[in-house]
Amino acid sequence: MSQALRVALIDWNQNVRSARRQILDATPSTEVVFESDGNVDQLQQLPDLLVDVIVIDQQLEQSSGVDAFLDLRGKYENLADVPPAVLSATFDLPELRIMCLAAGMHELVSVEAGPEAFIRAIDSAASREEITDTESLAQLVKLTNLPQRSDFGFTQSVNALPVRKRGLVDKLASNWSAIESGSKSKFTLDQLEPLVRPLGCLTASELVIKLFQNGFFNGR
Amino acid sequence: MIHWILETKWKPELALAALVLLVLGSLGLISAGWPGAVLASIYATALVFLRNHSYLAGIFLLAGSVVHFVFPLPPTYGDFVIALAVLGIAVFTASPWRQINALVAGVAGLLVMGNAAYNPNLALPNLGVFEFTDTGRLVLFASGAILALSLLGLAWLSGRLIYSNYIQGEFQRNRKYSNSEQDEISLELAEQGKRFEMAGDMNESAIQQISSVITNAEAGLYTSKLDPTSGTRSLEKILVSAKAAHSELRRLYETINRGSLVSQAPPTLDSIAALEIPMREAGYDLSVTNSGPKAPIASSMELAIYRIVFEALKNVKQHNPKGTMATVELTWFENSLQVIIRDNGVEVVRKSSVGPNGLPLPYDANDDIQSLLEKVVGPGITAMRERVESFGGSLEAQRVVGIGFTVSALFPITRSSQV
Repeated sequence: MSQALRVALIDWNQNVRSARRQILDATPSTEVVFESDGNVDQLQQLPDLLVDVIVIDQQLEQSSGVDAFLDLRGKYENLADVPPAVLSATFDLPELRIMCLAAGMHELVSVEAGPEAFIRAIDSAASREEITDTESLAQLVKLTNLPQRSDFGFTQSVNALPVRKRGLVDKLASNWSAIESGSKSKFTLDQLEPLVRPLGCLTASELVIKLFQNGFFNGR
Repeated sequence: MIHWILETKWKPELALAALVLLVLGSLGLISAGWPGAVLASIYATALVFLRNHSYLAGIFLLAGSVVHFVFPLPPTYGDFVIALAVLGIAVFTASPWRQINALVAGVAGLLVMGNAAYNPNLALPNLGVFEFTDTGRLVLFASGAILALSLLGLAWLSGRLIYSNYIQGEFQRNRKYSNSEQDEISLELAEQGKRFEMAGDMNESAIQQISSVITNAEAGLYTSKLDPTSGTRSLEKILVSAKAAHSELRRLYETINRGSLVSQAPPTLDSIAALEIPMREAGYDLSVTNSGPKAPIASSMELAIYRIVFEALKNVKQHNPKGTMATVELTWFENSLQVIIRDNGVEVVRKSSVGPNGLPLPYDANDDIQSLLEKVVGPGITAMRERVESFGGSLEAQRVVGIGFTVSALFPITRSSQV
């Protein structure tokens, strides 16, 4: 018998939280081990708990779900220890989705998606498999007009990569404009997996967004 | 008066020029013959260009003074127009032509005096001067020039005084009025901004409550497969969230509609008949008729029809004299409802104006053509048309020659199938 997924449920709206808990309690493969309205002091305890997936709502009392997760991931000593996160929100907006992926969160699930999609998102996060593909991610980046943001440390780390690993970045960069314009690409996000942790990212989507923001896909 | 002068183009100048021509032209004709009348007419023309094409005013003043040399003429009554022109220039002419024309007027005055003193063809004895010595001419020119310039200076100062007292005062009053209007609009805008801010907050809160309703409903459905009793618990939570959402939405509705009677039921087709009373109180006659078998229609359509009728009747009151008769006809067809609002305002005006033969004023083919070709436009008509078109209908508005105005709206309706 496989062990149930240990889920942390963070939502400011008590009614919504209890309804989600009801869903998770009724699902044999999940178990809620932590529940919070997003209070910062309560969230401090998370790194000490063995949590498989964090479900965090975008609307919290003291900050947004994305910001709270960014704070939280900083609390973990090793990046590998940060549990995958699912962001819940009222609507699935492209701007929110890109923010969610850029923060290293696994998936965005909206209220209208329903309980099955909610459970699927948790299962998928626990397996840490990428939920999006390169083409969809490129379209999302294009759609949201993601601004460039220079991160010197990240750029240095990419430039310091061994030639073979750096080749993966160059390959994606050379294909980016074609992918962005809708061409089907053979390049998958899974191919970037060896670079994700060394470059301080949680997911391949986060890595691609960071590469884009730091100008690695410009002028290729 | 000052309003009329400021707001009317050309007419005030033409009126002044005509008056000057009549009075000073006649005096010039009597005292100096036809050259005196010509001089007055040239000066009068200068007055026409005080405000528009001001450079022409100076040219005509100068031309008038040159006429003295051509004919030759002693100073006449017409020359007083130069002083009148300077007064007008000081009041109405914009800078820099104000200063330029004032200088030109001064030069014209000096030319008139110079001509009187030095023109050898001029019969100076007519002016009571018999000595033709150089000193005598100089004295005549100097005293005449001082007199002319003093008169022109007085006219200039008077003009500037009028300008500062009346016109500037008028501008200041307009400015104060505009400022107070602007303040009112700013205040209203600020209130609206606050209202939108509040509406935004309430909307956010309502969305949260609705999210809660959905999530609880879905959780209820999801868990009831395993535990049927959980459905009741979910329903209780849904009820609490739905009530909270309803309360938020009500607050939101009241905030957005603040200032209008939100608690009052919207008007229906039956409310149209009640418009007869206020129309009669205002001195207009109104009759409302219904024909054809009625059919139930959406309340939003009833409200739209009421608004169109109300707007059309408001126009009747605005554009027609008291005693005008208005009719509202609601005709029910199988698949449509026609609403026609007619008035006989033009007929009332026509019948009250008697023509040369003692009969009411007739209308002719030109009126017919005009009413056929004229496209009736305006924000009120556009709003009415948009209302009708939002229901898939159409609206026509047109003048009926010799009678009045007609607005006709056609709404598509669907009758429930007969049982």
